[in-house]
Amino acid sequence: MNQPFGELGRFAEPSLYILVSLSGGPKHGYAIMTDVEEISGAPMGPGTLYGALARLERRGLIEALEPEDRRRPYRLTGLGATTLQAQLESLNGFVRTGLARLDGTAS
Amino acid sequence: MSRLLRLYPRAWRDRYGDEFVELIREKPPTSLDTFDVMRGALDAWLHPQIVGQTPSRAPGGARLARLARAGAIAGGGLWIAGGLAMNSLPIDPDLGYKNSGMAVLVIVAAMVVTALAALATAGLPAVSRYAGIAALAILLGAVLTAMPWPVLIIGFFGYILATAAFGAILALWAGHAVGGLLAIAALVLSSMNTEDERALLTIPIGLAWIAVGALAFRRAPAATRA
Repeated sequence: MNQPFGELGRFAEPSLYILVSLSGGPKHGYAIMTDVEEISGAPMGPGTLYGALARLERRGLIEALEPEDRRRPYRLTGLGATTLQAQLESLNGFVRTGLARLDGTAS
Repeated sequence: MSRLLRLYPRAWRDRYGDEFVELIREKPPTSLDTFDVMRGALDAWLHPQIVGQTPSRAPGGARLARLARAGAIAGGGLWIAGGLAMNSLPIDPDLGYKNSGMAVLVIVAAMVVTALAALATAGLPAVSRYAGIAALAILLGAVLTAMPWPVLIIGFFGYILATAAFGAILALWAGHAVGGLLAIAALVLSSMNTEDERALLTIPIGLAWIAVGALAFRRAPAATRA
């Protein structure tokens, strides 16, 4: 994946899922976990979730809102939205290239 | 699970502890989640993300590599010493078998030390994330081996399988061919018997751990699949 996802190491993929989840509006940890499981079809462990959240927050891609009870919601920042947009467009180009080549192979 | 939270650095707990515990309360963790949290805690020490958390308390890559190297060599030495001691013990005429308590302790110490070396290795950024899971399984096997029968035998074979997996990961993912030697030596260890000369089958795994410690981190791992 491209920067800044490349530097996230094993947290790159979970980070992308989290950004996509937060692009639908602010969510707290449990809501993100549930949403990511729906998006990806695979559960995300709590250690992975918070490892990725900490990295995204430190890089300014998400920000924490005021806690609601003991839950703390997170939302996408402007930088996070721009980064996600660029990342998804890059992936989209990759997918289109792959599918076009597959079509060429099949015909 | 809240006990596992204590594995995280204080700064991390201060920042994320409350919401993390709340998350665990809402979604009780599975055993896989427990491993995931342990890996997360290790990561939080190795790669501090919290402003104000001083990275100096967390071992850096070079220090981790030194720890891994020292642990693997020391653990390998303990494996050899334990096997030699076991082999030299006479059969106790009253018991009908070897009274090998001290030698067993040395071997359990070898297992724990090599498990910690594997954990330190897995913390290096250029080693596959699967190495961390295998390292935790090695540690679990070592701890269970210190338990009474029949748990100890489960732990012993768990250590063997996890070490074989760890060696294969080192060889296939991180480009350290000596990991293959460790995997083979671990499988050879499964034929060990404390009551006869097969006690010496601890020597191959001892030598393999020493080789891993001496050779695997003399250069940067070739591949990164973090």
